[in-house]
Amino acid sequence: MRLQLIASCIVVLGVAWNPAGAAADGGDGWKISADTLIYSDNDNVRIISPQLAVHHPLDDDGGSVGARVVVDVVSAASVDVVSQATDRFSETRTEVDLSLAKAMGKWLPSFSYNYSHEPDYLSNGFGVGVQRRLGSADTTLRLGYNLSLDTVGYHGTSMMNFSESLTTHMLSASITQNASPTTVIRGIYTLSVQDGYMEKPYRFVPLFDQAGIDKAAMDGVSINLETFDQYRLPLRPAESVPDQRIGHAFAMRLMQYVKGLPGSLRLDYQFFADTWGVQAHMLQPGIYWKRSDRTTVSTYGRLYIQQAAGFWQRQYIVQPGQVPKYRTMDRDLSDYLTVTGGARIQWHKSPLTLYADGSAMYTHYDDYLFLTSRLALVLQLGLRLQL
Amino acid sequence: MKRFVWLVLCLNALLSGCATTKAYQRERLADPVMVPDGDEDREALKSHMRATREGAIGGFGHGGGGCGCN
Repeated sequence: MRLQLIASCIVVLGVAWNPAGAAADGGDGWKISADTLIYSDNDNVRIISPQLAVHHPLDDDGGSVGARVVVDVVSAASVDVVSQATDRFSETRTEVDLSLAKAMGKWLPSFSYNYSHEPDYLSNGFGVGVQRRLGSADTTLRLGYNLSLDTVGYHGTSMMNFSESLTTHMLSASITQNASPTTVIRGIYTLSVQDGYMEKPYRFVPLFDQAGIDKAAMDGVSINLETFDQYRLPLRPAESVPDQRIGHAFAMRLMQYVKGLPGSLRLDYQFFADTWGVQAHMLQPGIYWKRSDRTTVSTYGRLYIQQAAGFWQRQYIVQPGQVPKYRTMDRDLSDYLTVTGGARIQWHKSPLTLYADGSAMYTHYDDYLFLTSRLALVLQLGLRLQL
Repeated sequence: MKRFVWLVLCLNALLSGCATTKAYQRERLADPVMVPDGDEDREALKSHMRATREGAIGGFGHGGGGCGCN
């Protein structure tokens, strides 16, 4: 696999290394990007994600070649981990993305490949897309297809002994329209079809009977992370969710230039629904303010509200010997709400651009046995060097 | 037949786009604060972080492969 990656990099960089062609097309030089994201929450999860990327334009119509490497260094002792009687764990995920786009007349075809590796998860993704201006330069249509072939393993166990597969197809269409000399609107639709193993092999679901629930009530105890083991049934089956999930996402972006700022206002909205019964709304307003020729300040908010999957239950209460067909403790399938507020400052002096982005995310879980809220702080720093 | 004519008309309308600005009016639209995609690398990093914490798939979210689900 490493040889495949190296070969892919050589092919992509070989296509890019054409200084005469780039100059003839009016392309600029290499852009080098370095970013680091630091995530920390009060559920004992810490993540540091350094990322390095290079891009080179191939033409003036959006054609480019690029490569990106990101490493997630994760250390976690979240309720998801400790509720399974497991200690804190640390692991590293490495991802490599390669992309290539080259204008051909009015068409801009693109290709991408990404490879992601964790000790217990392997993913290979392939993407093709095409972009075309329709009529004038005011309307741009983009169609894309991504295929992701994932293999789920079990930490400490060879994938020869345990591995499950997950295939994800994503089909997307977007149209971007300059609605006026100061307004841009974008609409996106994404169809996602997932087939295969979507459980987490470490996740086991506590079951209760009515007698246990009644006993907890008599004891005056609410069932939560500290107490659930005393009142659950001895049987604790592995998580089980349907093998297929089909989702539809509809998204809109509105951008308005405001001369008085000077800068722009941005509003994103997204609706998602899938065959598991999950529904989600996302609203994200933002202000981009040009403080000077070199400095841009932006602030943004984000509201994400989700309705749980149909088979989600806070507590699975069963008859003796009964095991629900579908059962999960994945809080990302529960009812919850996340509110995010953040700000970014960006400074530019050719050939260098620096930015710092900080945000706080508060999540309230309406119906999750092990956690009612989570506060996360996210800091992202980056630099761009245009050669 | 009527449906086919409507389909051809709709496709023609869609593919011919909607011209709303002249070239000399696009100065504001070319400003970096009006770029719809923003900085691709910055957004990819943040998008992956969100994708592992939100149940929704697609739309504005992308952000690479892998699980990263802690």
